[in-house]
Amino acid sequence: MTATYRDAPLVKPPVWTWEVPLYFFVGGAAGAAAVIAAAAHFGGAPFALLARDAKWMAAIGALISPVLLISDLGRPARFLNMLRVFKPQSPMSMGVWTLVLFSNAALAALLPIGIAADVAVAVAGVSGAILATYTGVLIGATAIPVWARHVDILPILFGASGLAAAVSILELLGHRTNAMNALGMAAAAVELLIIFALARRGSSSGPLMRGAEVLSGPAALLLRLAAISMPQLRVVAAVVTLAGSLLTRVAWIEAGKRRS
Amino acid sequence: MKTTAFLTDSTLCIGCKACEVACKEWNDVPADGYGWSGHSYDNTMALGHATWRHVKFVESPCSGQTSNQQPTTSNPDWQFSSDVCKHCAHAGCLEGCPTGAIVRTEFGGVFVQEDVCNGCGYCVVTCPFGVIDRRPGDGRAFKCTFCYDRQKAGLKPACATACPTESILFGTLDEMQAKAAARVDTLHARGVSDAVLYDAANSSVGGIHALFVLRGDPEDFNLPANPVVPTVHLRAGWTSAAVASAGMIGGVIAALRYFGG
Repeated sequence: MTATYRDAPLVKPPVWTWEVPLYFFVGGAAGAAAVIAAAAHFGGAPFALLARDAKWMAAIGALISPVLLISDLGRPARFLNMLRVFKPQSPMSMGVWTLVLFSNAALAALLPIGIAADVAVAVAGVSGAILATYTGVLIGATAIPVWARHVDILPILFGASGLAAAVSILELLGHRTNAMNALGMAAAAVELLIIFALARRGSSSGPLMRGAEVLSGPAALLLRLAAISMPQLRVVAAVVTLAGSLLTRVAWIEAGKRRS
Repeated sequence: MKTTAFLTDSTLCIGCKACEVACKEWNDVPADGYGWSGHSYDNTMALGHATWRHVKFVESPCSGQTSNQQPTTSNPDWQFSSDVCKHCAHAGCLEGCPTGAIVRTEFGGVFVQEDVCNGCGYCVVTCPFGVIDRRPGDGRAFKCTFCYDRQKAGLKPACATACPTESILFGTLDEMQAKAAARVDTLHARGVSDAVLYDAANSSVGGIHALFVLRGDPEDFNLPANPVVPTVHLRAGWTSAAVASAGMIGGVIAALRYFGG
């Protein structure tokens, strides 16, 4: 630790309020749901119910996300100023345009508009994947040391966390298929690998981060493995995964507010 | 228009805070700093939404040592330095701003258009110097304007005008760079061997338009040894996002295909 002026922090902590981690969670789950919706939509008749529910999840997330983002602004009435410019070098600008594209596509995907709905489903799927992962770039490409150090990992972590949340919500809606359990396991395995990668980098974590990691990684993975023979554990696994996913975003935003 | 710059020379600063007062008066910056920090004469401790010039009172052991020890009463060293927005050549706040509220002026300064800012707060975390901040109650982000209005009228910024010891100089960037180098040479010749120029020229911010002459380690003044403009992280971040997106799409398609409905 190098000396600073009277031990005052060098950079300002984020001013973001509770809406931002909640948006990361909702947007992540909605974006991943749109990916599942697109795969199910183009997968044909066996996936019709899955496609329907996943499309609704994406659309509901598409409506909640802008509300959360606008209410976090210091001047919410000026939210349209976000659409004045298209700025590739600003992850915030790219995220806003991704959300605009995603929201319109996810809502249009529900309309009975024939081939246009097919296009909307596909656009929502691709923009949904970006929506679920760009938040890692958003906080990683900053001057906050703990975020910037892990900029190469955060998008993968948030993507896996979003997919795990979407799968869990679908499971709670009744889609307790092997495909959903497999996706949940894959996401938990990725998060477990990331926990090891972060530990190797010498990152120390507080109770909040530790809790998020345990729920999202080992706990979710073990419950899903056990659920192969004990299907009643699927609901527990889904709830644990959802808690872990939300806690992951809260923990990472909070980490940026601390000295690191 | 020529690029303009500040040169703040801490070896001439007497810690009078006339710069802070002049800045507040001219720019109608709200009051702050009524609290007592317990650290020398420093009330606000840092630049912020209502502190656009900030005089630091650096206490360190004498004769150029820059350890973090408390100064001794028999051998104190007390330096003053007026901090300000660095108006970076590659400014993190400007790059990150999603509304285009933060712009580069014709004088090379970094300026927040208050009628455009919607208070998203992204500039706060993309400034590598911890300068800009969102003002509670108002909701928008504020920082030094480089007295853009005064510069347009051919005047010096308020702080440089008010400084009674010419610790704050203002002029073209070329002129200030030359003066800073000459001043450091003069100080070295007089035996002030620990005098340094802080210009962040060899960092990713590509140099700053607020130069500082200091004694000792710039980090003691909370000036980072190697400030990083956050745009350097974009490639790694977006590559990771692309890999994650492709993995998610591929994984979902594979899972549905393999396991069926």
